[in-house]
Amino acid sequence: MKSTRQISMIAVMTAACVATNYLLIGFVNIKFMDLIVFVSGLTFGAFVGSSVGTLTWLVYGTINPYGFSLPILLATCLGETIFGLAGGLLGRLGFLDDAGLGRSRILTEGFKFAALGFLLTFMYDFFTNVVSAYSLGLPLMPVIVAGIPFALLHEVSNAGFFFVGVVPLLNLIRKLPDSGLRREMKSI
Amino acid sequence: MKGKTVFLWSTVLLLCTTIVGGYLTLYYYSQAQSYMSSYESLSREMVGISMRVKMKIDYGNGTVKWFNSTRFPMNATLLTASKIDLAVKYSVTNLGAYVTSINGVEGDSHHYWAWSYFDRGSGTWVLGPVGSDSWVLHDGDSVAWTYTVF
Repeated sequence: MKSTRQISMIAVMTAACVATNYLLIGFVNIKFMDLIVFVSGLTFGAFVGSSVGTLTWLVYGTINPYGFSLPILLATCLGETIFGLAGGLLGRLGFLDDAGLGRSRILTEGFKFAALGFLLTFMYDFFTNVVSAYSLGLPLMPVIVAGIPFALLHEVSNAGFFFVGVVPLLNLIRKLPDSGLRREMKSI
Repeated sequence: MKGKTVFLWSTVLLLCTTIVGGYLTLYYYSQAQSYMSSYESLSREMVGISMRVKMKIDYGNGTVKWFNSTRFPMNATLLTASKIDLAVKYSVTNLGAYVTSINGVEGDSHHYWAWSYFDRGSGTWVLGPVGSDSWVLHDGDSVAWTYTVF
């Protein structure tokens, strides 16, 4: 039963990621995906989070107007799991118990999540840049330097999304009727 | 415990700002390197189509100013080159251009602006034999404008 709920949760969250990715296709490196993957990991565990990240990239990276590259697709699939794994780890460490409880702490928690979002995105960008450089046979430094404006945009926008989005999303999931989701959350 | 948490999150925040700082440093350093390389490349190209002339301005009161680094177009006349480096006023006469003012210092009934060139053969300054608009400069020339008493 637990795995059925996990699979349905993965499907719903992946659908949300894919839909928002195509919705924001015109905005390079500005996506809600990382936020959703992180919250999936935080609330439903590292397995769900990393699965959502990987599956989203399998769809979005394959059917993408900017083109398809297998090494980069593998890198993004693997890199996106950082968000899910980090979310899952923080959930296990009890971060979920503290986060988003009271309105008075919403700002403090928001800042914490913004900083986490920034650092996780930095790791993701660095990892994908390294893989892109090696797969295209280019020297690493110019690739990283050329990617700085895009990386900064990605990291700063994600910090903003994590600041604004994680706590409301967590509160929203907590308010869901007791149809299994809350039970699922408690059991993780 | 609370102090430890504050310390932890302050470190995380500092790490974020360090990353942003590092990014900006790297980006602007590479931009600067790129512009430097473009400038050097352009300078190399300019060597073939421009010349460097040393120009001295002697205001006659002990103030002497040198302009040594300006590149002028090939075959520029002294007047053309002077107009690039200096604020020059002049009138055109039958004998050629007559410079009346340089950098705001005007000639009057007792003073005028005379030009001379450095003769490398004799090693002396020689008074200009023609109007400054007729004297064609060459790479490495040295010329002077002197505020002279009549």
